[in-house]
Amino acid sequence: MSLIKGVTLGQYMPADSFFHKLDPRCKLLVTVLSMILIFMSGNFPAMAIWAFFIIFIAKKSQIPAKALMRSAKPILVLIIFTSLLHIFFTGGNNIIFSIGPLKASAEGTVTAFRMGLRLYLLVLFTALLTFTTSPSELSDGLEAAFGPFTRFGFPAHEVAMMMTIALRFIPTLFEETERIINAQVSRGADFVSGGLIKRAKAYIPVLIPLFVLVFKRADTLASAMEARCYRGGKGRVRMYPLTWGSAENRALMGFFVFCTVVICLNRWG
Amino acid sequence: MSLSVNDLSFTYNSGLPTEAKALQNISFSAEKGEILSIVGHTGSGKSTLAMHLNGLLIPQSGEVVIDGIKTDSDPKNLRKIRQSVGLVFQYPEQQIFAETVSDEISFGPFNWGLRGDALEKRVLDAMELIGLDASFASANPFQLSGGEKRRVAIASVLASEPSYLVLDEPTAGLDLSGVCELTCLLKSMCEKEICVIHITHDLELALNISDRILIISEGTLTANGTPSEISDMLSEINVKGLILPDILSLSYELKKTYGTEAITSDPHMLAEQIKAVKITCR
Repeated sequence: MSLIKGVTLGQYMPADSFFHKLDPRCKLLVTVLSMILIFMSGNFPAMAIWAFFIIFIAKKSQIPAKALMRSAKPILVLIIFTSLLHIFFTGGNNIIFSIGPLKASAEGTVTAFRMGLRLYLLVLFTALLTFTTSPSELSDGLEAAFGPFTRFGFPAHEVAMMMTIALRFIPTLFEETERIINAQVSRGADFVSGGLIKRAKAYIPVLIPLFVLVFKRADTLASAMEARCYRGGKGRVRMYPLTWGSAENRALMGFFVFCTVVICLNRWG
Repeated sequence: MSLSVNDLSFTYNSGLPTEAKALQNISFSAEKGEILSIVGHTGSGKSTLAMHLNGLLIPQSGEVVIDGIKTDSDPKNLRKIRQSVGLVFQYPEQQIFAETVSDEISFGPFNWGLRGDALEKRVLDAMELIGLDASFASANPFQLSGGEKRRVAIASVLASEPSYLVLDEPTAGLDLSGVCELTCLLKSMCEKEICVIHITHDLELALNISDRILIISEGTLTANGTPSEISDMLSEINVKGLILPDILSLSYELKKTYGTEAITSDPHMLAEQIKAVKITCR
């Protein structure tokens, strides 16, 4: 049965590239700054520069264009929806056409195009991060990024550990789900016919055993961690410590130069 | 009426870098009233084969025919096939979901359209067959012991009254008495003119309970025969990852050193052979 195939999670693409080897903290920082900057980029020249920047990184990291495009697919609906809202509700005097009370203005269309492009660039840029950073590196980076907040009682290590465990168990749970589905289908369960409610109900015999398994697994994992003397983040060292070297400095410098160009373009472009 | 598999091949992730040939040109057939054991090491493709037998997987090449119906993607055929081929997965207790034992066991027959008294009778029959007291019917299956849970799960497949019963490693994780009870059940099933297909990695168990044994290795069928034929064959064919039962090793040694006649896994016959060897040595 291939009811749940086609769902891909964690899109890390291992490769040997400058961006793959970069410290995750550096990549996180750049991503966050870029998100802010992309939102501030109002005009089309600045956005074109962003597009070039994204294509440059993708090329350098050996990410196929197809995979990059696909990564934005889940939020395409959202982009289209917001664009439509902008077209019809921005207001303005140059009405292009109208459907009943809805009036599409020229100003609205430009705004819609700008907002759509902005969202699209935003998603592509964050996708670059997940393409070039393995889940474990990502959670290491997040732990370091949240580090300063531990002072205010934020459990940075625990949150990062939870993320790592969650990511680690996604494939396992998919496997188990498939096995349970197979077992119930063998007993005549029918997941494909009937209305929405009937179909949702059909999944009860899958969800209950799955929850039971998840709780059991969590229990076993907790015991195994305790048996190996895990006691939280305090005094814990890493097998592969994060290192901030010249590559990170160069990347950051390059990024700041790029930022300056973008900001200038924004102002005077 | 029988179950036959003709020239079946199946490849996972065909065309991708992770391509893995799970089954290659498998052919065999099974008759009602026999216990057929399919023996293979982990990853030999035996579970993939099991999923082909009730149409959970559709053959990529070759065919699986059950009582004259070919498994294909036609839902009507699949329904018929799944009704006549009961599949007990590895660790079947993990599929339990209902609040009471009787709800759990009635899941299968209910899905096949049974209602009312007939449904209730099916549940009680299945419970009796598997050796669960009728007082369990209203119990919560999640509060039962591991062995009892497994019995409930197997009963839930038996309740559909399949003509073919496929079990994937049914003895995994059971203690010795649990294994004995299960083999007794399998034997009683085959007396009811049900075809039992028992998938296992345990060659010794297979030799003890089967009418016929298939050995699968790396997705191909390496041997097909009665337990005594298989016993004779095993010294010649070297199957990866298959551990010879102690009793067979002893039998081979006796033959090699003292030239005893037959290879056997029957303790009584072996004792006779040892006695004969002792007499000739004197």
